[in-house]
Amino acid sequence: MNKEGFLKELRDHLRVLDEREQEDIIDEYAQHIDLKMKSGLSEEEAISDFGNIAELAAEILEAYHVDPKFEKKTKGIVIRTPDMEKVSEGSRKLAGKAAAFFGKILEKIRKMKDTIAGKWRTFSGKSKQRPEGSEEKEGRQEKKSLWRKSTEIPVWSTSRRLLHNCCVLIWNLSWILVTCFLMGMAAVSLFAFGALLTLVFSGYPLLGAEIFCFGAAASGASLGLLTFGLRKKYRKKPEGERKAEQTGEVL
Amino acid sequence: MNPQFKKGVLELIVLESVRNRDMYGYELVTEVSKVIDVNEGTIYPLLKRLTNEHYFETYLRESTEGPPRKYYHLTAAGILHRDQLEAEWNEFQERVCRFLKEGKHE
Repeated sequence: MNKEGFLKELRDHLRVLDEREQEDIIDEYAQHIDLKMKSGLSEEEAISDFGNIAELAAEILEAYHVDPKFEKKTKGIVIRTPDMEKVSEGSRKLAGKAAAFFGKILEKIRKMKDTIAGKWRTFSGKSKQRPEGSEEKEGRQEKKSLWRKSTEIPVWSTSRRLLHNCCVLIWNLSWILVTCFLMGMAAVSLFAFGALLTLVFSGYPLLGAEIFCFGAAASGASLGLLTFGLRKKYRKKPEGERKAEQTGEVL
Repeated sequence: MNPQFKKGVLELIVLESVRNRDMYGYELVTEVSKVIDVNEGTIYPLLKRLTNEHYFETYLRESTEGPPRKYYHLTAAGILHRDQLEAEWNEFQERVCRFLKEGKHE
């Protein structure tokens, strides 16, 4: 071994020490080797006088009360610590996704509420909202149909219609509840999917749970959409009323 | 020579060598080698330990023959420690000699 190799290996054994200490020690030893070579010894001989490098390093470390076996003990075990940067990035992305998702759900719920409220208003005849820029023809027709409504005899009795619409309301509400539940489940699964994704990338063996969460999210979302589509419309009214309702609908 | 003997007395010899005058590593190794045969692998870690325990102070002195050299200087604590070790060594040596002498006479 030559001087460079010796010093490099020694430094490697001492890497747990402070940089300055390492420098200090290596410089001193380098100087010693140089002086020995000057006094006639060869590089090999000068180095061999130091003895075994590992033992030498162990003794040096003892002077600092550092356990020389420390690194060896931990080398055998591969400790997979999650990369904190990845985790924080992933969780931030997740938060963004979740926020967007919940925002969308809130919007949907608001829309549904408005739709139902609008329909209710239409039914109880409180106010009629006219779409902006409606053609005159439509306007005239609307006026006609308004007049017609007040004089026309409805096919059903008011109470029956009321009952029916109550049932439809209950039907819709229950389906919306199921939708919310399914969407909630899908959201939670999506969240878990995201969280597990970061862990999977960090090396945890969670691929199975990951796929499960993805499946749960996808099926939850699709079932939710399905149940959402099962809502029933209010019963069709006679033509005049229907037209009035159509113009009055807030959609 | 029994390495245990050498190890036991090495610290005392090192401290004694530096008491008279400050020395740098290579010089010190040469001095100690006159008394007992040790290699650098033993002496340098010992110097490091004694320095960390504040028995030695180190400083750099410019040299005409190359890079600046690190000199070891015995501190007050180092002097006290050396005295202690010498006393212990004397007592130890006395008892062992006495024991061996008594053994011979029987």
